[in-house]
Amino acid sequence: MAIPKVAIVGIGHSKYGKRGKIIEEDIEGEKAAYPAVTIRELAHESYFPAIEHAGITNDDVEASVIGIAAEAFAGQGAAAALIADEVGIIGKPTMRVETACATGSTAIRTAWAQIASGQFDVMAAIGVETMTWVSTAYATELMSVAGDHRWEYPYGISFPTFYSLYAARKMAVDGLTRDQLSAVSVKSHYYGYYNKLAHLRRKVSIEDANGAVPIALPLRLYDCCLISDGAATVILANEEKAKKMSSDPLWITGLGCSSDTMRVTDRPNLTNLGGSVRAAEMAYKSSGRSAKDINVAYVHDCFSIAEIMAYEDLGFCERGQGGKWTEERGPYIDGPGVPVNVDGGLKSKGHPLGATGIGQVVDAYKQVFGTAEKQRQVPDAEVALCHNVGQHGQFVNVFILEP
Amino acid sequence: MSEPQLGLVQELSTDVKHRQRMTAEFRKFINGLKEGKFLATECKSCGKKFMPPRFTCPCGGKDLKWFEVNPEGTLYTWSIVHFAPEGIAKKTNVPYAVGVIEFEDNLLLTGHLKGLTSKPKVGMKVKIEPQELDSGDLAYFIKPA
Ligand SMILES: [Zn+2]
Repeated sequence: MAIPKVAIVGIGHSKYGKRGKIIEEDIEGEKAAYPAVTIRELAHESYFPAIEHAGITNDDVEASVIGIAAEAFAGQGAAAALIADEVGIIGKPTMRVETACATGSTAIRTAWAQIASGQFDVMAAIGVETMTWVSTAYATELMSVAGDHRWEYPYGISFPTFYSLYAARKMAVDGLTRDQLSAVSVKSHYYGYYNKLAHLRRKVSIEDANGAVPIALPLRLYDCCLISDGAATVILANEEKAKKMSSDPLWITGLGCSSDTMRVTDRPNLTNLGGSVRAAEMAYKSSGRSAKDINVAYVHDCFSIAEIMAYEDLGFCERGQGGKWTEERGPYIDGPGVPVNVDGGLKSKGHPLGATGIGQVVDAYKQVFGTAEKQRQVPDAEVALCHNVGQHGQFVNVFILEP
Repeated sequence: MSEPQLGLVQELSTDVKHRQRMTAEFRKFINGLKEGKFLATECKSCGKKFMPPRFTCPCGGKDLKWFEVNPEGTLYTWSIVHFAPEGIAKKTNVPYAVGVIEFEDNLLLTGHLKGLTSKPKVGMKVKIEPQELDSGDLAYFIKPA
């Protein structure tokens, strides 16, 4: 079943990082400084480049969807109204959407649906989050209270703990090893090092990752994504407008979404995410594509174990073989499989919750049109896949994108 | 802080933020704990069993019966938490362990895992026991059998 034609016609992406503080970087002699900012300026940083890229003005944007996962992080209620006002899309419908860490892709899916329905022709999906000004304990609290408040949270199950329950189970059932988990982080940091917009541009070794401080064993520091500030925007348009305004539209040719049980213990296994399997199946079916057609993929690597499960759930390797596939360099550009998270992923590029799913699509656009930094550019990439997960599979969106 | 105080929070708690309303069904589970019983439910329409107990079934069934679960099982998976969320960090020292116990009928339940003398092992024999926290709340914990 083909889906209505809607394209990405403009992209914008802020620097991810500790944007509450001035960032100064010197990577291989290339010096850069980024100013300290709030959600207001971060929204500007991603939105204005996006409309400029689309070659339009605010007059052309008919409505907006704002992705912010937890308003408590910004201390601002009704934050969609604030962001829409800040960037100047005033007097036009706006709304905030929230599906935890999948908020960004849900903002795109919501805008897609409003265009596909025929209600609007051109829309903006803006995702933003400022997370670093709160303490790590409070940030962990804000993410952990999304566990079942009666049966999970009071037992001290933090957000990383959910994924560590998967990791320990997968080690026992599938023979997943510590080195295989670390190999994912090594890859993420390798590519993130070359991404100018990434939060933590530092190469790490298997030994660094194996010996890092424990967070929720079996998961250690380098198994866990970053807590970041950042924003990303895409401009979406229907077929008629997209063809008029853009010489390089990136079409959403496949779209899948799913969910899963609230409690981790109500699932049939803890070695994969059923929500990802179902969303991927729907996305492949709607696009007529399969895993072997994908040239570049962005998977939700909130934890190393999540990326390994995604390899299997999206069909890049056999079930139970995700760890082995990593060791065989399956997810590398010069490897035998599908290049995955060549932007650094949530691990190195960062994870500003509401922006993350949009940031994946922004980088997919760069890869498909060949404008990424050369060390991390996939040659001749045409078909891209983006996979964004909220919680541990309670919300999943998968997009297939093609020029 | 000595023994971690981790578990179900009920009306007795002064921690308003994390208070759970005591629905009639939840009270039945808690009253079961008072008698040392772990109560689960089974759908009379499709036969599916639920722990924690559910009061409606995804099949559409609204008639569920209670049954008592054998508290002995095996360790399905585990975690040792070194960084606790702020609300939990106020109540307990780190690290603490979390386990998932697998009862008969493939029923799973998460809980605080106590009494470890070495690294937990998936498949090890464990059992679950009721526990009264210092707050007066009734909870349960998992320990090696
Ligand atoms: Zn039923």
